[in-house]
Amino acid sequence: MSDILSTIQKLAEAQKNAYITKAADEGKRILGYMCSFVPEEIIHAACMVPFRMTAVGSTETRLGDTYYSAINCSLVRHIFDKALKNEFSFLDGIVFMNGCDHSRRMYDNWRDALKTQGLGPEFLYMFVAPHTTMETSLNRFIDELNGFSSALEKNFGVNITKNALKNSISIYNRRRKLFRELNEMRKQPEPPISGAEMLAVQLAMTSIPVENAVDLLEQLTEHVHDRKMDCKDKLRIVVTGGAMEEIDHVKMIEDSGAIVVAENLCTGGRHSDVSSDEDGDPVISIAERYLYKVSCPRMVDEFENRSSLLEKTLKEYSADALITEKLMFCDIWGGEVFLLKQEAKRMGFPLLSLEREIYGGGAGQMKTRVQAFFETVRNIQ
Amino acid sequence: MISAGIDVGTRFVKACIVKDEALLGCAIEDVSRDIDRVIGRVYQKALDKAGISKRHVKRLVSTGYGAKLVKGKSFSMSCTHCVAKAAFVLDPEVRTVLDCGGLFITITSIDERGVFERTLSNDKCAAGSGKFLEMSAQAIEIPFSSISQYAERSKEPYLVSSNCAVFAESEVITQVNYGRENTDIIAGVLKSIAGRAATLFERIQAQDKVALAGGLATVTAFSSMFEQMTDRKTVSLPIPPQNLGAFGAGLMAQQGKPSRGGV
Amino acid sequence: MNIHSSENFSISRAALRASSMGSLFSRYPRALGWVKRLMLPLALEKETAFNRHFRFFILMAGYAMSNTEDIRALGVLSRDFQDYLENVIDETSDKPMVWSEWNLSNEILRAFDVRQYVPETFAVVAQMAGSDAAVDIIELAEEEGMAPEHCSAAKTAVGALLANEAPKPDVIISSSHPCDSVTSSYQALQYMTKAPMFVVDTPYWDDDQSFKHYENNLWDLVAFLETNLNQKLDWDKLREVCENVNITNHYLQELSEMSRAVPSPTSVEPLLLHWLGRMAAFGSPNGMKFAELVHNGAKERLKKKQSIISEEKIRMIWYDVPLVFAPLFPWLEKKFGAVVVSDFMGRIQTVPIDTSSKETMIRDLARTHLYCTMVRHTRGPAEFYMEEFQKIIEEYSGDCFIFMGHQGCKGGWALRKLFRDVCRDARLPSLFVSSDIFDKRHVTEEEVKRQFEDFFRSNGLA
Repeated sequence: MSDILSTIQKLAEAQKNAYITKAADEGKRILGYMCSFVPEEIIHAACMVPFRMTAVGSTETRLGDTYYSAINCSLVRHIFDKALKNEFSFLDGIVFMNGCDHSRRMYDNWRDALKTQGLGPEFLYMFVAPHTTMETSLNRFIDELNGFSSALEKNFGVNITKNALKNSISIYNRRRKLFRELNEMRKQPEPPISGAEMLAVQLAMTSIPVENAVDLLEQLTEHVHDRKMDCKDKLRIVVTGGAMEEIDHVKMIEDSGAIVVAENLCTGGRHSDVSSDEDGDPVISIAERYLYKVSCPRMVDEFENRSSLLEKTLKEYSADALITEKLMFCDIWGGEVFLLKQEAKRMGFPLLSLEREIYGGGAGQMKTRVQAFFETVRNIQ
Repeated sequence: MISAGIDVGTRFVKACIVKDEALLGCAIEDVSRDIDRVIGRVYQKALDKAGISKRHVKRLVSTGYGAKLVKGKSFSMSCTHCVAKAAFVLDPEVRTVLDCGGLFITITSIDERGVFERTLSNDKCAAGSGKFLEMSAQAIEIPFSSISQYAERSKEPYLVSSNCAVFAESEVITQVNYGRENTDIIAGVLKSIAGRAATLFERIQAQDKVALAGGLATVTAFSSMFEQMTDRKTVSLPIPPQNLGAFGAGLMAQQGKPSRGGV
Repeated sequence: MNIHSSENFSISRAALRASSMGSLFSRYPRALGWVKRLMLPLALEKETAFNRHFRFFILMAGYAMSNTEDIRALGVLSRDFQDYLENVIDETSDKPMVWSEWNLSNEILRAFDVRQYVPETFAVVAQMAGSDAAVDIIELAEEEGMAPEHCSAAKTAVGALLANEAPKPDVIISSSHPCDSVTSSYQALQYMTKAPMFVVDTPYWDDDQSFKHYENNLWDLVAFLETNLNQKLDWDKLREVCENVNITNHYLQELSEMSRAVPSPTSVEPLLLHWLGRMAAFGSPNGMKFAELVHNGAKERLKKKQSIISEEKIRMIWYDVPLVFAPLFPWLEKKFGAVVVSDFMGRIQTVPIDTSSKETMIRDLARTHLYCTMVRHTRGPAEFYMEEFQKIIEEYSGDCFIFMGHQGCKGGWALRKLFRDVCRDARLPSLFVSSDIFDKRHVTEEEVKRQFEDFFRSNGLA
């Protein structure tokens, strides 16, 4: 593996990295978040570093289970377990979000842990996004963004100016453009980068300051420009689902005779290449990007858009099949997978739906299913 | 008030006669085919030891795997609740009870009022149980009462890898055929059971003090292994650990209204 | 998708028969009282092949509700329920059919000339045909690919559509409360029926901005309905409905408060029945009558310091409803003298609707929607549960707390520790039972009963 790819891989697998430590040493505050609806630009414009919290490195949920029950999401239980072990003590604040019933309850449980066990940080903020895309919701969302800015200003004594916001949008758009370019290259018959590597890239880029991300992505683009993956007899797969951070899982899929060419995941592909509008009022363009341009199944009135985007992706990336990835007890993706199965029948593409617990084992059984599925797909072809 | 508790376990039937919070007498016998007679006999033995006649017993409560088989009971209750109650009455500082019986390992936490709080149990399988230890001891021809002596002599306990008692038994036999020392085998079996108990112990986030109950608690090598693994001390209670369930049932019978006649 | 070609409503028709018997007897409350007394012993212990078809219906009313006023109230409510079912299965009607989500209060729909169907209601309707019927419907949905972890009410809604128990919708209205299962399953229902759908976006907080957002949503909803139904909202009718709702809420809110008395003159059953009947009777004259009757019955008992059952021994505070084990309440009442004095489902805590103008009506309807059962607690931070819970503990002299958690309710289960801590601080014994409101496959009635027995006995309550 090349230097840049191995640097990125290490970043993706590390709980905390040198970039974050350096930013903190330079006096920057680090703000944790978990859902892709949380506006990174606003945090950045407040001179802070948004850091996506993951379960990376977690091996158990013993402490998380003192709060959560067995029917709660394993990702959330792992992350909260890490929190209770003080593994997020480097954060200056956490922005929670009403993304799903499991993760939004972490706002409650964390506040309880703060009260009863002194679990920091003290700045715990609930960011609320609407579930619909009507004009009423957009207006509400704009208010929410403004409210969030004021809370950051008030709590950390900073000033978020329109100019700062515009600059932040512009730097985030650079990161997004670099992702778009990488994705564009993945449409080739021999993509320059594997799905497992790409997941690592996406995980790494949300765990470091955006300036470093742009720098690393530029190096990566340069490096992979002439790279070609061996795609002989390999199926081209699109992966869609909720949060995923197990690089080994994607590797398992690819090792079974495929290459993952595109993904639509909370931890990456769904939003990493979607830019905000740089003209006009920055808050409105941020609102429009998060509410209109990126659609997650928690949004109730947008399945048609999601479905046509999927159709377009399958076509543009010349995909042979779709794999859906759902974590156990996830209602939101449970419903989406149900709809995708119907769409697979309607549009006639092969679909395999996998279900797992995060870092939950069972790789052998999963591999057998993937292999059997690939064999079926080949037989159809 | 005088009450009785009968614990019909998977390996033994136990009976206790209780007055208020004191144990007057207890008895124990192997489970056998004619279970009704065994229950009757054990109950009578306990009465005899207590020097009490049946008609003075105002309430009888049954517990354990076969609680339903007991006739003339006021009601029956889960063993976890009974064991918790008994342990707390014997030592009010106990907050966790590990009950290792014939088929199940259960760990129970008790609140400061002595009421059962939460319980966890091993998977419904005998691999982490007294019966498994008994089977293994039989296979390598060690009497149950000498298990501790043998285990303590082991230098290199064998690592039992099977999760199922049936497979584990054949694994033990294979090891015998390979010529492995029986001391190492029995120590390995004890270690695997203690390991399961320790996992439950971790999961429930056990608070001190910790008491042991059930037949396995009589095997000293088991308790010391468990203490070593969890780095915690266990307390010893003044009555035989196997009788905790029956004693607890007798205590439960003390609560509520007495029935009119004797049972 | 494999949707059967002809509609048949066989389960709904069975429920309709039971409910028309109820409404027939309501004219002769004494006779209904006798039927209930005679049937109760046959239904109480467990479901059998013999009692399968009437058990749920008989026991829903509980062991407790047995005086004349209560029996009359039951009859009145079943009249509306009968109308609701008749409307659902009426395939000849040319009135538009609107599907409306369970927790989205449907007062506004009453001011249009439409028929209504509440998809989740079918989970209750199916219970009336025996607990297996509901399981069959849920399995049908799961076979089609619905996620097993979805709330069983949501699965039943989809299953009913697959089993031809649902009328064809012209319009669907839903909301983003109370949980992910709902937001998710309505996307499925919309996909399967292709009917235009409007979803009300539920705010998280309880501040003016949040109420205003919901109010704006309701205006959008009215516009959506007017466009898609090609009708105008009848504001006079809405005013009438809102006035009925105010009176109904007044009675039920007082009823919720009355159980603070020891012994409690009422229990959770009338409140739950109203909650279940709301899709048929919320804001209707019969719904109002029901509230008045149960209120008066309880008030009589309160004056005489009488318990709703013969002897109250244990006062329980409940979290969720054990619907599929509706028999639990009568069993607990009869066997242990245990009465539910307060809970999070039946309990009414709301504001009156100012009917002086269109604007005030919509503004206050928004508030009443957000104060509605489940919506009031689930949509926001833990404090929405805990503050009310602490108040209940202080005021209702409960002996214990029962968290009968529903499998579908992930958000509730995520607060387990917080509930436990509140109980511990209040020195209130608590029992946490894992259950499913509509799906008996999850845990058996026998097992749940055993847990109750153990809990009461080891806490010295029985």
